[in-house]
Amino acid sequence: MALTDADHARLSRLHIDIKDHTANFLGYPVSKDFDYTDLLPFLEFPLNNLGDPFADSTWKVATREFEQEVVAFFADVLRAPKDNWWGYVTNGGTEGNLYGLYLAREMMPKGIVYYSQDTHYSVAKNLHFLGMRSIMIRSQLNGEIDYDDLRAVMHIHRDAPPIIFANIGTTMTEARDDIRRIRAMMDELALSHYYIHADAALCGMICPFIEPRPPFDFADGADSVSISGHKFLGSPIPCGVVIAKKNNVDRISRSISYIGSLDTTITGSRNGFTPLMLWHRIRSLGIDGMRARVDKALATAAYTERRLREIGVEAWRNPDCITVVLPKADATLKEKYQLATANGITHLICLPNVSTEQIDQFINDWQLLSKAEK
Amino acid sequence: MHHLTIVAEDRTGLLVELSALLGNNGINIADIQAKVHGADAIIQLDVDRHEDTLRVLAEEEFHVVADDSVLVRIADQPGALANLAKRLADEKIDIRAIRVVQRHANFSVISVNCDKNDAARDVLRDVLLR
Repeated sequence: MALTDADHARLSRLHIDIKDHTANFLGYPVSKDFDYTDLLPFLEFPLNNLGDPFADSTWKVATREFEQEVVAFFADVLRAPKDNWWGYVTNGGTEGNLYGLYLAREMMPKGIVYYSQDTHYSVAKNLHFLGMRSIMIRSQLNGEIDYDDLRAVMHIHRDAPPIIFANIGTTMTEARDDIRRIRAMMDELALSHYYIHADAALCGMICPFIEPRPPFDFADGADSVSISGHKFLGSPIPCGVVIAKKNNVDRISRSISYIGSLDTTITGSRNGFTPLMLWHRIRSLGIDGMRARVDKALATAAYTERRLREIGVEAWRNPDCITVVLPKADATLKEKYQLATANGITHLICLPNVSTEQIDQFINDWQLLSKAEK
Repeated sequence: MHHLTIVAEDRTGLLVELSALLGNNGINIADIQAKVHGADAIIQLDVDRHEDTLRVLAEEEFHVVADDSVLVRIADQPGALANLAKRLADEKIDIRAIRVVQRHANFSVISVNCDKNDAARDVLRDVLLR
């Protein structure tokens, strides 16, 4: 059965709409400067990376070898302990966060999860799924967790192992919780049994290429890290990677005999195409290409902040961040540039595909609207 | 009908604004009541379409809290949350979840869920909103 002419026409209209909407957005953390044409032939197959990417499977229509390389790349970049890491390609950052929290819960069933009030809403949803005890800690004005409050609350609940959900780039201000500082706090409080998960959805592919390197990964004290693939790297399908310490994962491994695989993943049936995209991105960019994208994004963010301040807008950004925060934008601008707003602020996210020309256009629109309002 | 509780910054016309917002989205309000506590209003709503109401309220950044939550108001300063947690811990009340619902310049509205919510309300009666 082929599609009808009406169906084709509908798809054509959708294509035009999507293309238009993709051209302008500035408010969501997804890159669009990618080209995966090399991978189109693989869309002919029912790819499925069932279960654990490192375990043998009877199902062979898969990209497990490529997924293993992708996971190994991220483990290296995130400075995971040698020969003690494991991971897989997820459907996005939220699944990676769910996995990290799941692992923490299995290891510390009586633990309390501490997370800042600037944490993404999906984390509260994950905590609800997992039935975990949790305490939201106040944030500092820049969006980073309030360390004094965290220390004081953990001190009161010293009988329950702390599970820290650290933001390595909050949704609105890209604030990064300092994992090294949190880990030092554990030592100060003589807490030997704790778990730290890092949600590095956007910044996981930014921080490794910044000097000085922000404290966010395994070498700084994380036990697991989740990164989105569709955010800074960019892909047409949401995806991500979660990396955890293998000795922790081994404790929750279960044998799923009917696929001949040891499965510790959340979903079991897993996307076989997204690992290929991440592999393609890693191979085509290389470390130098990734560093160049980070440099470009930071330069655009600095330009954006400066230009906005020049026209009197109180714009600011956290150090070495690509997110520029500004007062709540007019509804017309929100619509045109697909800007997210919350708690009276709006942000522009200067991903590598954002050009200074696009920023100039935004500044021009802002000025025109301001004049019209006067 | 479904019952909902909203915490919002109190302002003139808040109930009119809420009624219009829900009415314009085809949501029928059977009952609406508000209590003002300082700068905040706690609004109890009975509506006919629960999911749609949650969606509309979330889009407009209204904070909906669970019905059984203990709502308190504490100073927005380091240590205030720890003090709250300590008061509950001292009475052997087990915290399930603590969430910051609303934050102002000097204080925050906090939602607390415990194993013994009624006992928690008693312990925290000096800062209790609901």
